[in-house]
Amino acid sequence: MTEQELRRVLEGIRPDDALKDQIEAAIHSGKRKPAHWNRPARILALAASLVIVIGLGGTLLANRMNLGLYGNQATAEGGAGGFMDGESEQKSEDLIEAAPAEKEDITAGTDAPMKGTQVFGAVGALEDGKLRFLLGDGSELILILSEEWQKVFEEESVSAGMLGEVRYDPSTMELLDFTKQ
Amino acid sequence: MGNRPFGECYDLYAAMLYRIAFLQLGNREDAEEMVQETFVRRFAKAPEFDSEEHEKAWLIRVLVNLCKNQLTSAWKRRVQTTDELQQYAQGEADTEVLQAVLALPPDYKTALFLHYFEGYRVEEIAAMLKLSVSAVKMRLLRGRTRLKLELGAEGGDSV
Repeated sequence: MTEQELRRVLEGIRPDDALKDQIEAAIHSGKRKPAHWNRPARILALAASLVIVIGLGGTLLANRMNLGLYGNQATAEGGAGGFMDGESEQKSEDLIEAAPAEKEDITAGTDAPMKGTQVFGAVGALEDGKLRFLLGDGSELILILSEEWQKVFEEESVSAGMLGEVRYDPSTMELLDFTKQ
Repeated sequence: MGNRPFGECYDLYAAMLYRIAFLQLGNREDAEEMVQETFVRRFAKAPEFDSEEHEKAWLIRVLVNLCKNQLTSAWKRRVQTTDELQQYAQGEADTEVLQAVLALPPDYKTALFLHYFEGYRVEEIAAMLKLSVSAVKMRLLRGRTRLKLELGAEGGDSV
């Protein structure tokens, strides 16, 4: 594809003539109601969202109620039984051991990766074609610089301290993009 | 500059803004809404501009940010019909070109459009979009590469 071809095709993208009047009316009236609010797809999406929210809310509420009932029941049993005998005590300990351990929240801390693709305000170091970040929770994040990026960093004399927001591909840990501070 | 009447402002910038929005969002309805919102903000805030370029850059930046928000919104329309593209393309070849451009990541499209269509320099795009010069160069390089890969290098001059 040539640059001329691209230009010609892009030239063809033009707004509808009615848009000018529509925008002028919106400016004067101050109403920012979307021009295509009545699109069926949006109404369907709204309805689907409501159903999902109500469904999730109901499920959560039901779970909480079940947990509450179970807890009350256990307390009542304990109360009725008075002091536990040795066997009951051993069973309780077994149950506690059998309970799954809480998973460590590796995303805790303000400097933790957001949605797995972005690092905010972390301290960075640049060495051996890799970017090292010390995250808020003490863990280290290492991003790989492609040859293209290494060349650009070298040419532009980019240092780690100049980096602002950094985006990366969580599957390959390769740097995708960054902003300057 | 801040007192430029709407009609004049629209005639100067609407087509450019609409192209950016359409390339970002891929459909007419969303693109029109984003252009509308950009102009509404322009005239609601009535900021003072030093020059025509300053005003243009402000409008582009607001529009690109609005489009980014729209792309992350649950309302984003994900269906794009060939009919919609054909209204802007003359013939099958043009439709293919447009489809290839629309298939690029949004960041690449904006950088390519501003550089090759609007004639902005890399440094100007970097300042406008609050990016590093390197990042803009990378987007242009990758965008060019992707277009060549998807359309084949049948053309003479590369984009």
